[in-house]
Amino acid sequence: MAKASLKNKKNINIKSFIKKNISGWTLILPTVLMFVLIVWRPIVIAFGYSFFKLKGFEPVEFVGTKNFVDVLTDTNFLKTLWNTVQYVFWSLIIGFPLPFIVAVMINEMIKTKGFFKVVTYLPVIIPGIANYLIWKFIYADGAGGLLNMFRYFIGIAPMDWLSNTQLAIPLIIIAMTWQGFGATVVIFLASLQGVDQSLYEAARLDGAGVFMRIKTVMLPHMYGILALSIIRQIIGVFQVTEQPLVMTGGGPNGATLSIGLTNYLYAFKYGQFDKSMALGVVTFLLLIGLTFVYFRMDKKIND
Amino acid sequence: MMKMKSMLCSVLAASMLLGIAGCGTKKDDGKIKVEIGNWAAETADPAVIEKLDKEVAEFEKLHPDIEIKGNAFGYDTKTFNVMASSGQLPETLDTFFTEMDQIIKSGYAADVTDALKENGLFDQLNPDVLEIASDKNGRVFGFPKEAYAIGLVINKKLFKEAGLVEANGTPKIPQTYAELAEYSKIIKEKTGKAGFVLPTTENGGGWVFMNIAWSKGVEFEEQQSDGSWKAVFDTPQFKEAIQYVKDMKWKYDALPDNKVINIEEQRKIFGIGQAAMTLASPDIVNTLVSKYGMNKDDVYFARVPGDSAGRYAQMGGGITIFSAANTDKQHDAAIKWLMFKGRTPVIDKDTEAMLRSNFETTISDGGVVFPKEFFTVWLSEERNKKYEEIAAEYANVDMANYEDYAGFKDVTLRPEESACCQQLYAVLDGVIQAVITDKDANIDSLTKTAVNDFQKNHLDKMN
Repeated sequence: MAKASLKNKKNINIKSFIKKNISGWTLILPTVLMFVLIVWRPIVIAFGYSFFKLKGFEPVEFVGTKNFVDVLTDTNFLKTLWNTVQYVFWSLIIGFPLPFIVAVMINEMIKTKGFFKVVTYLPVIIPGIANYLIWKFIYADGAGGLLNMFRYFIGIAPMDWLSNTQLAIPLIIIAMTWQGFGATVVIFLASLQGVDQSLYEAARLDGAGVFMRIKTVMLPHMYGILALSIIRQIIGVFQVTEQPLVMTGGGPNGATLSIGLTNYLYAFKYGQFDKSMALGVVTFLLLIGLTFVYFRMDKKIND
Repeated sequence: MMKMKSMLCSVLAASMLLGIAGCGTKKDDGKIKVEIGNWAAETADPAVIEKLDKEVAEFEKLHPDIEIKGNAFGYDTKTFNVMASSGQLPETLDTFFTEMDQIIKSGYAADVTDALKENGLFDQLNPDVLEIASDKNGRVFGFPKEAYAIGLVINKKLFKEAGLVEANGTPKIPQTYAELAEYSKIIKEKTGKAGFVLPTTENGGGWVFMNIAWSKGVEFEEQQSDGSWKAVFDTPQFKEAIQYVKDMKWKYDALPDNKVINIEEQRKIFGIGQAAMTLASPDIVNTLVSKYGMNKDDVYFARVPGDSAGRYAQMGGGITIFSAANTDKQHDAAIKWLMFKGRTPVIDKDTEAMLRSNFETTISDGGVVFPKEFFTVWLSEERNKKYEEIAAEYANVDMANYEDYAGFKDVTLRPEESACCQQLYAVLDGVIQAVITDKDANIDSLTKTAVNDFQKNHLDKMN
């Protein structure tokens, strides 16, 4: 009897909770549905399908972990994983300090601050593929490439850029940084503007120079946002796909082939969607740990 | 007030959901509805669209039970499977022989063996060509459109500038790959332009390289008695063929500066006069002339050069596939439309009018019309003779520029390798990229890696 009344009470509570927030529920319903259909459903399906042999997109036979074994034993898997780690490494070396330095510089400016904010953000609005085609032209081999034209102009022989296996990944990262750093600058600037000005003043009165002020006032304040950016960057760059696709096709001889691009090739070049989904799941598992760290930090920082 | 608010929210949400769902019904008038792919886009020349509309009206008058609709979607490996799985493929799509293996495996192309037979086409089509579109049980999954073989394309203007001209004014044709390398060197020295352009990426490198490799006696794969496949190209012949590509870059300086070149870029480099020779099929000519503004009289087509094993040319071609999501009646209706468009073994009055109209369109688009088909998919000699009679009236190229190619003298024509050939091209792309970007590339180790990669990643995982 007591159990039944408790259940009843629970039902009433849920009902009244929903009724109370009915307008909110109704408003988020389309978004939730879109999320389920466009984001969650494909992820769940990909998980399931990665255990099947697919004919086109139709599962025809349960094959257990065969697709995973196939992609993990591919003789190029470790090479592409290593390439992907190199992308991440170079993005941290090249792509991470730059927006911070630019944000600090803009923040320190007294005049033309607005102008530099706009100019810094401009590359972000260029569509990705167009941006990478522009950079492909800048890096082109021979006398036709912009960088080589410059070398020629100052009397140095042209050299290979993207065809150089050692340079290709850092060069792609430079192109990615050029396009993406404006957005990070905006985030850093917002954080910088939240620094208590009185702390600055106090530091200045104590005779602290620019670097000392950065070290003692700015960095402690920005620690959280910087740490979040690193994680976000690692997650983002780990999925690098369209940049090598457009600029090198993964070459020369697989030197710029990333896990993302391999996944793309499985699916859209060879129609092997089963392997593509298995590799997608592997990437997902590799990244989920980092995402977990990201959310933990995000929560900590917001608190 | 609160009630009003929630009602308003409900209406808003409902309307959004309806928007997502997209409602609509279609009336069924009993007609067989067929969507033809590779149709002129809405942005195309209005005259072209008007002509197509007129043809549709004529066709529907002849076949009142069929309704034809155009769809501008064209075959693309990136979108094909997605469109197919979501049921959005048009009934017909034009694709290439190279894609048929993957398409048949995907199950998205319909078996049209019976429809081809019922329309009297099956026995009239070249069986070798039909085989490319067939599965192991002999069922056919497409309607072959045209076939071709690779030849050596020469820029006559650059050859003239380099002094590589015979007494009668024709270009000096390299008969062997060694001569091709020598001529390339001369061209580079005399004109500053690349002697030869070889695609290197998106499987283009492997595709073109096959011609060089076969001529040097390379065999790539072998079927074993248990049905499995073995990669067998760790041979001196293969290493010699790769050494040849390496020498073209580092010894003869024959290749363009740009090293990442796909098939389209290959065409562009040749079309804008930045390279004097390349290996391609005659369908390249329309692109060179209408897209890159090359003078059609500067294009010279020769047989592929030869080497120790002979002259080998890869065969390719175009084919129309039909959506497996549709019915046999729709496949039949689509085939009737293609026949109406001139793809028949018999050229009657109507077909003749259609062929003439097609030629006129090609010419008005700035393209080229050949007085003959270098290869025909049709067996009927009567049909082929009639075709040539009509084409000769519209031909706008000097056939003297194609004589050497058209004879196929001493040329062995080879279809693509049977197992995982796209993957083989990708592996070969990698080897080619390695030797043209690294002067010190070790061919022995590259060959070992390529054979191992192809065997373990592809041949061993075929099923």
